[in-house]
Amino acid sequence: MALKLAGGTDSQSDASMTDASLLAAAARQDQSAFSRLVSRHYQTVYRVVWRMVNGHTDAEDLTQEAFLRLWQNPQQLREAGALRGWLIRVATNLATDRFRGAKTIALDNADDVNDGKPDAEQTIQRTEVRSRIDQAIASLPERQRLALTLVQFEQMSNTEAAAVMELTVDALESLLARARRNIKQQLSGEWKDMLAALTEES
Amino acid sequence: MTERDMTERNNREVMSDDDLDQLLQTASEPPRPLGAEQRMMKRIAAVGNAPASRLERTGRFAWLAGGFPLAASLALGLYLGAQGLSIDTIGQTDLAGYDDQDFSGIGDAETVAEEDLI
Repeated sequence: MALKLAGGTDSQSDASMTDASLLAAAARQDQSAFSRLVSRHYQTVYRVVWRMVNGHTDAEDLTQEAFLRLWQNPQQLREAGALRGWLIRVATNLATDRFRGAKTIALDNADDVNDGKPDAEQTIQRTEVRSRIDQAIASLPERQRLALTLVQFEQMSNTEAAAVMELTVDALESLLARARRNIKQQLSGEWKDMLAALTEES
Repeated sequence: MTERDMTERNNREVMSDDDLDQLLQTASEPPRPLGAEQRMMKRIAAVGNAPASRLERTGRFAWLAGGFPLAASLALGLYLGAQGLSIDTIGQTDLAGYDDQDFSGIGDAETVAEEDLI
């Protein structure tokens, strides 16, 4: 049976339905209600997972798996208001389990930035800047990378991100500070040129 | 300016938070996977209705599987007690001949005078 994806024509009533009410309906095997939850949260969860696995193709599968677990056992979510955080935690834990043992998850389409050849007129293109930043983020420890993803890229407040990671705000801020310090250290020898390249091209 | 000079220049200056934010803005953006949500709901449809609660999945009387051995053990103990029987794990014959002996070890200790300890 093909399911219509919710959203679009009935946005007012859709917006008024809280996650709690949709989840309660989904617990009664209402697939239409569950599709509304998917519409609401899928992209956010996918983006976070994508960054956690460095763009690996498994990102979609991991995201689906998290939603599937919610569908199969909605009672495991204690607080409906924390649905997004729960989905992100489940998906990122699944990512950790899947890639456990791998020292780093290879960046998809990562470009070599520095071939080591000295060049007095070497310029850094924007694509190279992006690649270098991606590498720096990918090399962060998991929890630092997640904290940075939630705050920097998903624009969550420190309070929201701490709730997602089930940390105190202080602990979250500490993780975030370490992540930023880590990236600064990695880019310490080239950051001025990277910024210059961005300025030249803008 | 050589590459070495550029590196040294970079190292002398400290990257500010604003500088880092500007660089982080260049990070790759996740693609928006086309049709991902539809694929999600197809998978949900394939799975079908959510399974029942754990209790219903395992059976309302699943607790009996663990309860029976416990009940049987209790019943055996009551029966043996009622019959005046007991299960000896230490055979009486193992202790034969040792009734009068001192097991405290005190008799084995050498006599030590206090003045010998000084």
